[in-house]
Amino acid sequence: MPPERPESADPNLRKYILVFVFEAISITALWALGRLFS
Amino acid sequence: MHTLDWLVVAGYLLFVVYDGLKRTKASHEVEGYFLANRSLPWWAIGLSVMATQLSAITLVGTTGQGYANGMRFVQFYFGLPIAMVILSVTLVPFFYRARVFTAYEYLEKRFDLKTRTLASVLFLMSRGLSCGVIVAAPSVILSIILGWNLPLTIIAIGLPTTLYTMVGGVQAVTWTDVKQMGVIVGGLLAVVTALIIGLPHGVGLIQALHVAGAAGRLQAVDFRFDMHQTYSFWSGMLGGLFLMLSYFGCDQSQVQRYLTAKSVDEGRHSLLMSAFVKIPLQALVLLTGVLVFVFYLFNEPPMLFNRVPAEKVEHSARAGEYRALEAEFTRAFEARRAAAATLAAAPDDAGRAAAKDAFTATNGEIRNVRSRAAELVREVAGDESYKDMNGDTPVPDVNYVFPTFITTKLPIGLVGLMIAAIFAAAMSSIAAELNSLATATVIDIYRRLIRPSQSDAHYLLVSKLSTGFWGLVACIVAMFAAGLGSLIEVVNRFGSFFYGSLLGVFVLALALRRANGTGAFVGLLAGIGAVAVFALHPATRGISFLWQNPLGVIVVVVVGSVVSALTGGREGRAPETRSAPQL
Repeated sequence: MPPERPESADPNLRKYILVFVFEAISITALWALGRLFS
Repeated sequence: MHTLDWLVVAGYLLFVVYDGLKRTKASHEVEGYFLANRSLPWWAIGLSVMATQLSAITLVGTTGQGYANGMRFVQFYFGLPIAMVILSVTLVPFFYRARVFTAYEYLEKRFDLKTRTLASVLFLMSRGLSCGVIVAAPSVILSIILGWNLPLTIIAIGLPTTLYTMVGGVQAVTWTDVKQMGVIVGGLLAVVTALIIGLPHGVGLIQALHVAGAAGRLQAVDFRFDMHQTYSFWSGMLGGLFLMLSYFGCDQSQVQRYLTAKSVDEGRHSLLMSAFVKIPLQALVLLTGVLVFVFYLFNEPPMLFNRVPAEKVEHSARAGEYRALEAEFTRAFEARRAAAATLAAAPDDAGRAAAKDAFTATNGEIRNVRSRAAELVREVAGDESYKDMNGDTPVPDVNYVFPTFITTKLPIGLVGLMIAAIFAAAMSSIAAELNSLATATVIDIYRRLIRPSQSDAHYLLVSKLSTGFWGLVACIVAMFAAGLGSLIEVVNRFGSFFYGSLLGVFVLALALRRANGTGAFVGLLAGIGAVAVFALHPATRGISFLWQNPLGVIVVVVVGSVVSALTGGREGRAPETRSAPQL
């Protein structure tokens, strides 16, 4: 049996990490756009 | 405007009012009216959150920014995704489980009545005035561009919005926001498509981007640390983070959105939607402006986009000087068009590098002529705002670029769609503001301080009247604000004074167990005072406004902690606050 998740735990940890990854990709893409077309 | 465009705008207005008015279901008691009985799905709330934030002035102002200064404004939103994650972990579950109607209600549970009332009154004053500005700013632009009567334009935006918000409450606000976001994004995508299709023969999207890049319009990210630089990676990441935390965490117009969610998780998901979509959406809006810039490289733009001050000069004793400048502008445009065509046709990097200098020089000449035209306007019309330039465009002209392009260059039908999109952007923001203003008025002031023990039906009636009252205030403020350009800036500045400080009070509430009501109250006043001094003092006035937010938080937390310690800490507070959940 897997251990029960504590009641207060936030089940969205993966989504939060995904937000940071997506933001890093977005900023990199915007920076690259400026480098590519300058 | 063509009849078909009028029909599109009228059709949009009729549909949105009909759609809002039919949302009276589950709005027969106060909780249904203000919180939709906590029943809304995350995706609808997420779209509503974004629609509320994207006002008409953001839509036309941001495209104008893209035209005049390129993509760098996108950095303003870099702190937003991080803020959304922090809020999803901290405040969203906290507010949701506290079963509050307003963010400020919690401040009484944690501190005392005076802190709650001060925070709520600050929100009501600031948002009440800014709601008028949200009505006024697009009304002024649309009335000038389309030749409409200004008071009628204000009523055309304010009346239907007040009507459906008053009758349908938060359900109407949210579900109309969903459609309005569809109109805005659909309209923008249609304009981008039209701009790409309308590129001159031999100039494809890649060539257009090369030309825009040569003019510096695609430099989106600036890693230099300079506090006087309004938009940089650091001001967006740090200053913007605090602003977004404050806006989405402490401003009732946003907090109320996620309080309507079916569950805590749905509330979180609604914010995470913005975390994913906001930066790409803003990049799209800015890119639209950049493509408008490319369009005007090959099609002559007006020397000044706002025709009203231009006409004042044309009818003055210095009309000859203005006409000479226009002739000079046309020559500069022709030179720049030729240089842009050469740059676009260059086959490789070496060719582009060779063509870039000539293009940059001709582009500089356009800026030069425009700045002399702006100086002429400043001297003749006495409009001091024309002394500053944003890229190659006078600052007050930036908001007129996109509406001018829409009404003079887009095909029939699309003009109507984009005017409807500007209406949609304005109405979605105003509706959320009216609903949240009514909530704070009824819950924090009327029910708490004036008539505490009335029936639900009584409070529902007062809520509807309160929504109508704030709609009326917004329209009246808009009438005055429209005639006083500087008032708009004063209202925006006033709002920015207390954002960081309000966030500071919530940080104090959640992070410092020993903080008490007196500390929070004094800290809040000290924070607002410090930010006001920082914003207005000659030594710090030039520093980007985004840094006001961290300053407000720090002053409130430091002063609040010291005053709390000096006044005996948290002992003696009301018993119910002990049951408030701690993070």
